[in-house]
Amino acid sequence: MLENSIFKVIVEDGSGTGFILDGYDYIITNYHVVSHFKEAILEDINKNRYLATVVMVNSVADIAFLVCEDLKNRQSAIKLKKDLNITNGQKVNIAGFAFGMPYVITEGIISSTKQIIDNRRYIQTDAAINSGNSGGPMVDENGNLIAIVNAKFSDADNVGFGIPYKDLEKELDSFNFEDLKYRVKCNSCDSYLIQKTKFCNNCGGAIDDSLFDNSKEDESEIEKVINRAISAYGLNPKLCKVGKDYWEFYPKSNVIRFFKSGDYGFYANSPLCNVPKSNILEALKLINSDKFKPFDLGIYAKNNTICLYYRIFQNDFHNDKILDEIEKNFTNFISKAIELSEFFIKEYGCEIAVESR
Amino acid sequence: MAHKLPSYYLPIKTKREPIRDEEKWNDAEKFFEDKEYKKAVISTLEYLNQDIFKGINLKKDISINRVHGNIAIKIELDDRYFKLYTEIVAIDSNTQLIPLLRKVAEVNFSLLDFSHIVYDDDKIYIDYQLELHRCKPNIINWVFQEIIFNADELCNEFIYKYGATDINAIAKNRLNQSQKTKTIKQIRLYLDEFSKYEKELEKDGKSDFVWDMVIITLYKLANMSYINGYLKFELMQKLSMIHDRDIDFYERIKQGKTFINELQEKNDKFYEDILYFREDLVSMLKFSNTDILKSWFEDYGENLVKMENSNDYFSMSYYMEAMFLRVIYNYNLSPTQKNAIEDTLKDVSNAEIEYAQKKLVKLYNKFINKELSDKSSKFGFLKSIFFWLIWLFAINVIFRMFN
Repeated sequence: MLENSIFKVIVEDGSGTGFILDGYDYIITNYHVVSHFKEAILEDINKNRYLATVVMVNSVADIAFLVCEDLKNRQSAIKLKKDLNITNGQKVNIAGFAFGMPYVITEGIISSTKQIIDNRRYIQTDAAINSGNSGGPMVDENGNLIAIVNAKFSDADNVGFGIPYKDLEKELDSFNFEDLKYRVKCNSCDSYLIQKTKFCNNCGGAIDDSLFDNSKEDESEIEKVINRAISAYGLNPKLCKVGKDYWEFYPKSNVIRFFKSGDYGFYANSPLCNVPKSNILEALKLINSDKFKPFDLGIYAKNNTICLYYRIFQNDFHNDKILDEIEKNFTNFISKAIELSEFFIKEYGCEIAVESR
Repeated sequence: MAHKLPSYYLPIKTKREPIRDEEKWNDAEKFFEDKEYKKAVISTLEYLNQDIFKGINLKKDISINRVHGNIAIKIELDDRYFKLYTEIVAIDSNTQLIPLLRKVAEVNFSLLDFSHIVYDDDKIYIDYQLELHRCKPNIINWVFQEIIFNADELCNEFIYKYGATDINAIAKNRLNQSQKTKTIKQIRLYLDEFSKYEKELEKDGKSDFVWDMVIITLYKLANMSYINGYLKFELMQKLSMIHDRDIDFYERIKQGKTFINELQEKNDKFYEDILYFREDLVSMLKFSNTDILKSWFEDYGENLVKMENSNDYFSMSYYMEAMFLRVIYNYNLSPTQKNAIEDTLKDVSNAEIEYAQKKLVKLYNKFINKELSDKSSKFGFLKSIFFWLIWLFAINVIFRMFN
């Protein structure tokens, strides 16, 4: 199944798509998806998360390799067939997480096998490609890789581009490292660099030294508290953080979100389930009661969902008098959201929330 | 007729909205930094309304009751907590409880940032408290306004839409009979004039200007601060709708026309019930000074120049009338500024377009050149006393010189 070989690749400033090739242990994606990050979260279609290390970046070819111990030796439906015949008009499938939304597969044809942009060759397709698709596979009907989708140039309808599989083949052939060190490829002599440098140690070619930088900022006060709160519940906070000051995770069925809101607020919320269809008055009385302090319940009208929420001020993270208390509250929020979700489903026959997994 | 501006009648003069004390903001921040939290809260609230604690001993624990529109609010401040309590409505057998409670749950999740409305014991209320060490001025400023503005507005909505009971029963300072009669007459004149202009504009092929007539009519009503109750809430909603570019332009005109037609159908009793003077604890209008207003008016400059260059005085006059009505609707203006606008609008009421355009441009330039004082009348009064004293002193000196 194609979808079992595809992952959403999440870093703090966005997300793209990555995939595993049959016979290889790397998760392949675009460089621009993980640019300036040394680690990324991989999320499969069932929303299971894995932590991956970026081991190779080629910014010119816009290709990156990631390694995830938990995904090693995994079979994949995507195959790399050398000397694959690609023709104009050929049917292709694009798989990925457009706009960061759930997994989708779209169909199209190859419009051009040799489209030149910025002196590089791309494969052009009319299949729908949107941001979030970047790094995903473009495959033929037999699962053979045709290209790595590159959404960078896809700002027009029915025009999408992919990096030809031959370019990837070249990267796979030349990269033979077993360790998890971060390596930058010199596009002039094909050597790999570990130390930050402005020039290639081998050929003297210019290297963009910012490629070695890590966008991951030092842990803020908010991050410290939230990470401790998530750890105290027994989850790995690294797998929960999906953006700057934004955590989203599924300890069970319902999603939990911790995030900064506006200039002053920091919120926790969790859509528990849909509003019940019977015994509504009793449910509404409970929702509008004061029984769950410091948390509250409300209804998100747009998708008819009962939500648990906890709202504090960003400034509270700098107030030593209450730091322990708010850390405990965020940990308890996770258990309370699970407990109340199960309670409403059992007692009021509510359907699970659309955002639950 | 469409080549004249529509009518404008001077509204009843009311006292100025509560005034901010800008200097208190720095005090509040300094007190908070120095960990004098109670003083920080006091200064923050005085920043919002310079008279909020008038006559109150601030050295002891504070417990005061104040009124903001439809609601009474209890403010408490001791050495540990800042507390706000306000009851919004009561529930009785006539209340549509399920839709109301659903609305409360939706408001809690989507509208309110930090406060929470509770249903208990057949009452709907907000009971908010915060430890003093968390009371940063910007937080208190936000939370205080969030609670009083929303509680006041929701009180109206809950009563009129869901049949809840007015628990606060704030004694309404009603207009006297002659004020009532005059106001209802003005309202009807505005509404009737809208229909006449609508027909005339459509006949002249200027049907897009019906949009201008809708906003001009609605602003004229909304700027009568003594139109309250459900109509105030509806006017706010409709004015927000009429500017909402997500809604199709002609749909907005259609909704505006329907609303005005509905108002034409209302009897005098409806208007008598919603006519009363409000008492506000914090002005719902935006703070203004000459710089803020200059910049606000400058944003209209480009469009005005385009209209003037194409000698489109018709568009320009309608545009400027709406602009001046809008600034009254949005900003807490000084009496000098508000009077200048109202007097000009009265002057151009039913005036020929070219005359109106000149007068409106003249007023516009006064705001651009910061010629209209932003000082409140309180300062004006002190200033006049000061000049009188100087004058008396000078006369005294002259008198002595000659004797």
